[in-house]
Amino acid sequence: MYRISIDRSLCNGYGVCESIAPDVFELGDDGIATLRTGMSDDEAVTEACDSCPAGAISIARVEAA
Amino acid sequence: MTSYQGRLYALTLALVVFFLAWAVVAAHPWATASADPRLRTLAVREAQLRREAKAVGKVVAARWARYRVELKARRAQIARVNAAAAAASAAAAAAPATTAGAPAVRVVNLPAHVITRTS
Amino acid sequence: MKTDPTFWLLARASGLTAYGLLTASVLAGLVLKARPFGRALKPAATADVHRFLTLLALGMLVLHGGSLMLDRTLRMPLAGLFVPGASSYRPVAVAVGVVAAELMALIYVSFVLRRQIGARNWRRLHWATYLVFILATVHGVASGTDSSQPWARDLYLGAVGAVAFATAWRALGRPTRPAPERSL
Repeated sequence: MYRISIDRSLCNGYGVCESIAPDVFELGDDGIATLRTGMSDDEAVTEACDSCPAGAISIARVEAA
Repeated sequence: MTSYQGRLYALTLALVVFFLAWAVVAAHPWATASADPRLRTLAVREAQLRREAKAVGKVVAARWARYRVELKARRAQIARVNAAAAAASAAAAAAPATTAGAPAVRVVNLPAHVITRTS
Repeated sequence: MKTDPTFWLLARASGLTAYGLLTASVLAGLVLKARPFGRALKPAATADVHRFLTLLALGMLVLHGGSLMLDRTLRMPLAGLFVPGASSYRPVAVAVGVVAAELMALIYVSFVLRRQIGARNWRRLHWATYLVFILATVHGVASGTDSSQPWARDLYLGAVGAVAFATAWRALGRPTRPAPERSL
């Protein structure tokens, strides 16, 4: 299980995260990425985190409750 | 994140491509100058003007030739008339008798010719 | 009588290089989105190189315009570089180039001002990069002195082909789960 967070001040709205894991990430009306959910066990979030050109996504592995 | 390595590669690539392009275009600096459509029109016009100049030259030469022929004939005619007149006056001088038809020469004294300025 | 062609040659070389850099930048941007190399390329580095290539292209354009102005035969006025149609040499083709260059500069500046204009507007404006690429290609083919040369034809075909291919790759993308309902 991963806890995901987005630093909105770094996000430039590239939308790569959304294309990798649309369940978790979406670009809001202002063009900045927002989280649909703060916790996910989808491995795609790690790829999304690595693929963000602005480095705005951080994830932390947490033990499933 | 500033990728200094990536930027260096990009800059190097840009410089290499630039100097390569410069060398390639310098190999044939004028080769494609004729691609300009205005030059083609100009070349056509030049050829046309050359042809016209040639034709005009021919006409002028023909007229000159005809003129020279006519001039020669006229001069010959004038020479004949002069010769005839000279012969006639020589014959008249040789016969000093009656000059009945000769006009009299009259000498008169006229008043002094005064010139005034008109402008 | 042929005058010194140095600036004329510089204009041609810098124009061709600027086009190459623009093509590289567009491809880098598409690679950034489509990620064809998976995790091999660092996206942050790709984004930085993408921007830097655009900056280099703009620098080449300055050289391109400056050389055109300094060429004795062409005598391009300053207005010809900035006002579409003000050039007496191939006015339409040059005008297309002027529009492409100014749009490119605008898009570059828009990234610097993305906070002010908003990320959404920045994204929308960024689509105009395709227009820049098309206009630049038309300008090069129409007004380029070397455009009739086979190597130049190959260059334009290669660039257009590469961008088209990369665009198709981006558009088709990797199969992702269907996106859930968005509430817009």
